[in-house]
Amino acid sequence: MLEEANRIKDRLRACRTADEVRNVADEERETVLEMAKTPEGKTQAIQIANLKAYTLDCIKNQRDE
Amino acid sequence: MRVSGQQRETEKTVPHNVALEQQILGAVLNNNNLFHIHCGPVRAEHFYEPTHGRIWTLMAGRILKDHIASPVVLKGELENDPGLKDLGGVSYLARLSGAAVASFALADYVRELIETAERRRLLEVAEEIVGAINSGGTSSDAAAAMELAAMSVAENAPVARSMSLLSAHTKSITAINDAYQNGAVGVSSGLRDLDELLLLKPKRSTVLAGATSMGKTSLATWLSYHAAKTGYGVGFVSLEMGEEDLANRINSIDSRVPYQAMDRPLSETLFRKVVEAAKKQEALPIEIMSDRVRDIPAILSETRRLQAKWKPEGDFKGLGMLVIDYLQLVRGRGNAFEVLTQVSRDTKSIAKMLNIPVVALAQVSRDMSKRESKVPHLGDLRGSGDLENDADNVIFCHRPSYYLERMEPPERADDRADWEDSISASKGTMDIIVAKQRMGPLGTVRVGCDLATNRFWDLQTQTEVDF
Repeated sequence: MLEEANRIKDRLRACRTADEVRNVADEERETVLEMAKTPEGKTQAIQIANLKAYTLDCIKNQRDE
Repeated sequence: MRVSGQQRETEKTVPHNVALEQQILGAVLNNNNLFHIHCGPVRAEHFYEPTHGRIWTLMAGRILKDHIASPVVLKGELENDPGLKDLGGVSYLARLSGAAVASFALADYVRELIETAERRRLLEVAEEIVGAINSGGTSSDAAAAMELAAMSVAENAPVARSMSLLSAHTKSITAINDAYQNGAVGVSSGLRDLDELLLLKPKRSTVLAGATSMGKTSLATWLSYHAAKTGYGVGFVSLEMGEEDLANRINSIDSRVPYQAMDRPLSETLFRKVVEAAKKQEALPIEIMSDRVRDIPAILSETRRLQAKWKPEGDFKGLGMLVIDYLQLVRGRGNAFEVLTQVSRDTKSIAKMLNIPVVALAQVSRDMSKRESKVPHLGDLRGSGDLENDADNVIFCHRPSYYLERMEPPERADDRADWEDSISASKGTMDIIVAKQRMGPLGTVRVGCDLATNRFWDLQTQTEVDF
């Protein structure tokens, strides 16, 4: 599970535009929501969701600058 | 094969039938389908000749995986078997095939094989009982050993002990009615989420397993405490800790003084808390069986004594649970694997005989610590006798924070932040993994825990993940 979570996090980290982030989210949503069903996976899923929000925020800030 | 004089003498007295074993092996080698039709109850230990047992294990393993088991394919796997060399080498397999019994007679042969093995085993038990009595064993332990043997004969009988559907329905409806009238049938853990997944029911044996330091004994202590608080008498076989240590653990639940601190001089305030908790708990029906009760017959006779002593009255429901801490420390005969196999089978017999749930703690294989994912699974119990097969339920204790805290901190800043987040999310929690449940769902529940005081509680449900 940790491996799967790290793979998704790496994909999110590699995104350079908001569209790329949304594409990754669309493709991985099912996996992440499935992951969130177990106590151990839930922590990972929350981290992934946080990373998505953080990446989108960084991209937005860069664009605004 | 050469046999010594002493061995020949033993063979005269020990019931066995090597020709019958050869004919069964031959019949299945010739037609693997017969394994499924007639040989369900046959196990390797039913064979007197150890090489036959090994051939059977190999054959059964292949057939169960839908592979062919014939003399030709077994040849490669058995050619270095020293026992087979003594019997004439791999050509022995072809001889077995030639000695096959006709398929219509196989069912009778299987019955005879199991009957002979049971007679052998009973003789062993009888000799052991005689030995124990001669060396000063108590009559109640001897009687319990006889009772266990009788129970096991009944269970292993190749003839099915049947029950009509009508009787089965009557029993089931009585249990459903009991549940309706008196609430759920079974001992509650005091943890809402766990109770929804699994209740400790009479006649069921539950293996509570986990790696070292995962909190198995803490959880067992909590379960015993909660069962006693809700009116069930609990027998606790403590083979690892002394009575005082277990008493300290139970005390810590109410006093909230860490049980490890009780070995050192306490401040007056803490000492007062310990004494108050001891007073509050003095009426709790928990009986600790110390290391003088080390084998299954002794555990059975002691638990029987408790059942006779604790009569249900008012809110008190009599003996409601037996905890064994832990299975690998229960004594028996044979090597460690044989002892554990026998003990896990007998544990289930005790649950059935006394009509109570039995919770037996077990250590998982150390190999688990070497792999990347530390989440335990049923495979980790393999090599521990037939634990995962015999038990009705298998639950694992797992604390992710234990492993996370011992990890090398990640170098990358955001990985490190995630790692710290994971630690704080799992700190003070335990995952209780229901990995096997006869007649019930599987799943994992996360509960809050403080192992220093053996306390457990339900966690608030986390918010949904929005991704």
